[in-house]
Amino acid sequence: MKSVPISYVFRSYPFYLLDILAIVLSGILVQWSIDWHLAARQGVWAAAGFGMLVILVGIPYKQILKVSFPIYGVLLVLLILVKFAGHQSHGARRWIGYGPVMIQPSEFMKLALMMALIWFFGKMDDKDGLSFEKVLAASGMALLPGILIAKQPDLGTAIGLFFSLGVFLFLRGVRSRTFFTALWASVILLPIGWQILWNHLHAFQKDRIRTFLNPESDPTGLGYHTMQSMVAVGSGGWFGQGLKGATQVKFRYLPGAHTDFAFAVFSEEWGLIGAIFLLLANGYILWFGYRTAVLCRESRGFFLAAGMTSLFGISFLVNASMVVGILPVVGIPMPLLSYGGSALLVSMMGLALVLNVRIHEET
Amino acid sequence: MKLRTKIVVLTVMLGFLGVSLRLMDIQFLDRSRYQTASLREHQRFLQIHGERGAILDRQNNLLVSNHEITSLVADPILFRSRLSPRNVAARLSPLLGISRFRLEHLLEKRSHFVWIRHGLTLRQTGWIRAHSIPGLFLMEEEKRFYPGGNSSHSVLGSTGTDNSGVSGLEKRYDAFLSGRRGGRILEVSARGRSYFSRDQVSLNGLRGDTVYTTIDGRIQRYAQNTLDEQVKAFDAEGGVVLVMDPRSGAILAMATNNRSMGKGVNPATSMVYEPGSVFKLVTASAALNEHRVTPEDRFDGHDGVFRIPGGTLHDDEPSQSLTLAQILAKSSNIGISQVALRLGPSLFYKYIQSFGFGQKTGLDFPGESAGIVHPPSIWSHRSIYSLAMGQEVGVTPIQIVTAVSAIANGGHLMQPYLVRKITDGNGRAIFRREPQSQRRVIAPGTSRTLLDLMRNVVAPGGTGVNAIIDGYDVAGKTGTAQVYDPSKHAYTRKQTIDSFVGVIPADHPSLVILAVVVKPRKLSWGGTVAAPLFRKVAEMALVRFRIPSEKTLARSGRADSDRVVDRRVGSDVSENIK
Repeated sequence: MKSVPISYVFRSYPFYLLDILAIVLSGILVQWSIDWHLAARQGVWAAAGFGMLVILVGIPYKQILKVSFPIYGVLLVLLILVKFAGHQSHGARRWIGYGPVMIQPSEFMKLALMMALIWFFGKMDDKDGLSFEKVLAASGMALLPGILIAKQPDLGTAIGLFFSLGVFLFLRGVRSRTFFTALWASVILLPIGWQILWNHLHAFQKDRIRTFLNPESDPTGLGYHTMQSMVAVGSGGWFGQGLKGATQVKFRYLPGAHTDFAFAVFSEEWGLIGAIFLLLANGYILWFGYRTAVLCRESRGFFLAAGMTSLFGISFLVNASMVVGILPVVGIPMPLLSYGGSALLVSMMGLALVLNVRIHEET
Repeated sequence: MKLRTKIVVLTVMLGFLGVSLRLMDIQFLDRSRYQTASLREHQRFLQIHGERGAILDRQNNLLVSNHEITSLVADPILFRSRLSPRNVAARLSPLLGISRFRLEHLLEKRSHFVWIRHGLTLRQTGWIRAHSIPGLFLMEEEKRFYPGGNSSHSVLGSTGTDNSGVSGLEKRYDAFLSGRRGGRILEVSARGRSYFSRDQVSLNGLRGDTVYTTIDGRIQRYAQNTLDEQVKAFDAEGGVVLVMDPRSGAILAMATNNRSMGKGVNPATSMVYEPGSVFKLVTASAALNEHRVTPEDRFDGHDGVFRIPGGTLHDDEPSQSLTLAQILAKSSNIGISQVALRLGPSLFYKYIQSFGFGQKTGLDFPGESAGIVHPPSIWSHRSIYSLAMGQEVGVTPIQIVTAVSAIANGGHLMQPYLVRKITDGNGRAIFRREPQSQRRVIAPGTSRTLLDLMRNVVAPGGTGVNAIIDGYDVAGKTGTAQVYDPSKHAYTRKQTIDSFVGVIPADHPSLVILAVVVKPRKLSWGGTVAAPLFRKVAEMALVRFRIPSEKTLARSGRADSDRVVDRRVGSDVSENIK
């Protein structure tokens, strides 16, 4: 394995890169329709993201995986730092940084956890899946940052972290005995665990879950987010209302329009045609990712490609489902489209790793 | 590919399918529902009226237009989402002078729009503006404004709280005057800020039409003031002054006073009264026109006592022999009875009808009465005597002034009118009325003869001495109708309706002026109540229209003066009388 020049990447996989660029630009357009300041900042982050992409594609993924555990450690320290010295906004401490450069370590943790898990447990040295101890260790690796993140509070990102764990465990496979032990344990522990979780949830988080169970109970109250989001998507119709016609956004009916509900804004502005375009663009990324995984004959490469693709896909699907009212409002932004520098950077880095596997496996 | 990988890929594909189907559902199948929801959320439809049209006088001066007032409106639903009606009502109540209970009730309504108060004071506006309470908005509104005061009220009528006409010309021409209905869409944000954009262009398009009347603002004001003074001075129940251009039928002034009469009625068009001696003009013109009498004929005065079926007629000034001129000048009941007898019931009735009595004149004004005229078939033996002197007949002031105008203008019963033109918002005339003769009632010769006879009324020895105007020949007739008292089944001398109708100048009639004073209590004689009222208005009108006096005419010649008069009063009408 040797490093490859970036020009080779562009020549070999132009469509994948253009696809990412198209989605990122769509996102910037959404931000622009809300407030050009957002678009400008997102543009800077996107530029940084492409920079990171170029760097990550250049270094063979096995070398990157080698430093995954130190990265995981650094992020864990950062998460603890955030707890005490983080930047507070909207009642949550999630950010750390100086001046305009604020990063969200929790977002990066999703990526780092997946990589660390792959680094530790990615070798297929057991035929019938991971042992109970290994599953416990892996869960611990997820639980430690998970609790820190959930306490920020940032339930969405914490859930995202457990997606990383779940996806990896599923792909990697666990021993059937371990699986059933875990299953029985969860069946018994679920009510207790739920109770503990429920008691630790913030009021707005409880409201969201209640709302999901009965969305139209009070259009102006609990189900407000979902209702407004669906109204925004629905009023887009076939061809959308245009950048200036998105009244749900213009009149501030849709809270979090630029972050969690960027897809709703996009759908209102570009209609069903735009939404289908976005689905196809994301679908291509997923197809490319899974194909990369399948083509890869090396186990860690497979896990990296499949894991990153699945994380991307789950984030996309959970967010889209939330926007169209299939799932409750959990704070998971849409990858590449939603506003948020850290999330954008993480998404692009994940996709860069997929491309990395594709390139470095082949060569 | 491993099974578990397949499951992951399949799950993702299913997820895509689910989202796609849901998108189809929301954005395609069910989109109208969500689009409506979106509009309902941020758009509030507010029905608006364009500005009400103005009414102008014959010189195109404003009689009524609009001025802006600031009103307080509320969006109760929006309001309640942020504030409690109870608390705000307590604070607003003393400021606005509305009870707390009423304010709370208004703010509790399940609606997006309620009026809180029309016409705020500057202090109230300032307070509301300074506090900018979500859900409460200030709105500019139009209200009727009368630049010349209230003197044209009899003509214009009034508008209700919804700015639509309820009486007078405001009612008659409401369809033209009222601004067109339109919508204003308010866009409201989630935080309750309204993006209230006042679109001036579209509002102008909704503006009501402008109505041009025949009223002369200054004569109207003077007539109204003089009438009010006279009614007050004589402690009368009310009165009417009507000024008409006899050549066109245009009403130049219509002043009314209904101090102690029913509110809401306009006496000029709806008061039905017995005209009394004024009606002798109708009797005399009918007989002259049918050549049943001539000015040279002499009638037996019966020494002031004349027996008729079922009673006796009396004259105040007994005489042996009377000419038609003397009958009118002294207002002899005995004399005019004999004139009517020469005419006979059916011919007399024909002329009464021909002069327009017993039917609406068709004036463009609401609430006109037809008056009461019975056909000869139900007349009693006494009826012809009564009718000859203006009893047993109910007329309205507008009928009298129209009929006398026919005598003045050479015999044409003109269609009386108040509105000459209507223009739309762009200044384009959409309605124009030309003077219109309804029919010829009497021959021009009869008209001339009668005007000559009527001059004797307004001359020393006549009943209309109080109407004499220095330098002008006035043709006129007094009338003192006794009011029929239903409780006593008899005419009383105490309650009278005094009137005077005059034509000036007598030899080239330019104006017909009718003055009516209803039940003057302090003094009761037509010659001294209505005639001075006529004189005051007539003097003012002569100056206003620069009608030259006989002395001026003697110096400069008639032709010249006719031209002057025509330009001032009848420029749009003189050629229409053929």
